[in-house]
Amino acid sequence: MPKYGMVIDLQKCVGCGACAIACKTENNTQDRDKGQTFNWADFVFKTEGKFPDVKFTAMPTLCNHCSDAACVAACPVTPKAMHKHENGMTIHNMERCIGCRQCQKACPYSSEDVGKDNAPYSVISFNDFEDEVHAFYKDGKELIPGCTSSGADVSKKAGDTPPHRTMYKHSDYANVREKGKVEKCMFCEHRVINGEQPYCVASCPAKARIFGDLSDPNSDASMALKKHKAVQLKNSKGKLLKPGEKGTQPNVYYIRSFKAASK
Amino acid sequence: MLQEKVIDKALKNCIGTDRSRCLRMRFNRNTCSLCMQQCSSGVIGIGEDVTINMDNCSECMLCVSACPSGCFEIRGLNFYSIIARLRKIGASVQSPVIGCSKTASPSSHLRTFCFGYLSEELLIALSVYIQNSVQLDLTGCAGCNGFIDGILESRLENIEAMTGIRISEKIRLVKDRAELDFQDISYDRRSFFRAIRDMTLMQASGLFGDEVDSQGMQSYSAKKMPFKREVLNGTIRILPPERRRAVLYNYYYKADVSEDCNNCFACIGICPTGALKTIEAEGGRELSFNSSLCTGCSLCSSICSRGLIIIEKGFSGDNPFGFQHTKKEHFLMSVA
Repeated sequence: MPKYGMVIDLQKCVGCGACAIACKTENNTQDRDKGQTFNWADFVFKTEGKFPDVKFTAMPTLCNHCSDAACVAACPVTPKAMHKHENGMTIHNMERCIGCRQCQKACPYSSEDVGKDNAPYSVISFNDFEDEVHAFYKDGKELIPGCTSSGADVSKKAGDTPPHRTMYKHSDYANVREKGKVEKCMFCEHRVINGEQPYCVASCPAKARIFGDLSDPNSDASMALKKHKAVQLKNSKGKLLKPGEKGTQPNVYYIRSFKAASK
Repeated sequence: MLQEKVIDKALKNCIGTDRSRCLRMRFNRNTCSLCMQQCSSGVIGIGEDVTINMDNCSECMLCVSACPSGCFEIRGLNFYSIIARLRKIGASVQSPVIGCSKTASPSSHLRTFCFGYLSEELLIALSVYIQNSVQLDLTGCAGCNGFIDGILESRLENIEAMTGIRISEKIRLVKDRAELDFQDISYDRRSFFRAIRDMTLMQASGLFGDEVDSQGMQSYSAKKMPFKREVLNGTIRILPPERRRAVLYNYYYKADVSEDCNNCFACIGICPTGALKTIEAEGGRELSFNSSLCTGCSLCSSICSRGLIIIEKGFSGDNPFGFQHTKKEHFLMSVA
């Protein structure tokens, strides 16, 4: 059984955001609202220093599919809604999720409210109990009355909500989530089991994302890790694990850290 | 074809379980074991699922009445149709006799499953809905589930002590055959044929009736009331005010939410019955509580990391229906 992970080559990544956009269309995630990002693929952008001596870094973030996943330990239901698959992925079962958000509280890479916590990203997002999912595409209000269409009109014309909906099937999760449940990156398991790459990986124009079996020493991901010194994220503020620090044993690695400096 | 269907139906387990309702399935730190404590033959297992070993089950139905959140359901039981039939019989007979299907007594007007499923809630409802009185035929219990008569007796005593409803006058437990007062219904020719037709239809509908999905599994996030509470909610609407207040005080819960609640709403997610909900308030959404939907399982208090919500018996007032603000102090302070 493979143990999937991801290696992100920061020297290849230019922070263009193609992965984030690709993910949003593939997984039909909704717009950021009320402290929930719904960005399964996101970024930590950092600008350091003082003009003219400034440095800029872009670090793509996603669920780390930790080997010692805090979200799984925190999930209170039986069998767990947030659970590990044998292939190393941390998968969320929507049917069993009760929306208690214990996973979000426990995950070091997540925040219950990115606005209040001033966190650049959150791996786990929560769909409100009351608010409609994809409210924008269900709202009949026109931006400019008598001129533009409403979100609901667009959905109706396109024949689905959201209009760009990608249809896929998976035994645990749905392609559009329900009210009152959490959601997060699933490493596109619905694609991986069909022999495809996660969509963020497939869409990266610079091939900065390497997805593969970390237990196979000959996989591209393992080779990249052997060749370069790798670091892992520690929390949702963009801090890194120190050498020797295990954290929750994240399976997303960053190699060749890179800073755009004005020199 | 028909034969297969009949055999299949007969072999099917008569108690359905829905693990998504079980408190321990919803919250891994919960230790509720009311069903296992009540189970007379030790056949209930709670692991990755809630299971009943039907081969050794005595079908006493005590698990059904014990579970606070309605994990167990008797397939083929329609409580309201029993009441409707009792009322029909009650029109011509002073005190109809209900027997159980396990110990076939020849003198009963209708038969149902073992009486263990008659929780205090259902007993109250039964006493309120029937015209005069009803006799529960317990004459066969001694040779079967011998503990049922004692359990029913203490349930009736409990109800009487707590609510003042003089229930033993309405529901008579008959253990001695000599005490059974069975009046046969006399039929004229027309009503005889009508009765045969009704009976045949009922039997047929039992065989072909729209079967609930045999797995009966619900999404964990679905909010569902246990049947006994649903029945009681209907019953209290027609109780006289004084009795109603007593029932509310003894069977309904109040929620005490601290001002320090930071509105994480984990409690809303874990509640199996939907008694908690967000409500618009000054300064954003906050927690609201509907007592008619609360079964007192207290999962909300146990998931609250700081124990800021407390559920207690003793609902005071007349109206448990509808969602109410929980942070009363907060409201008074904001007014002052």
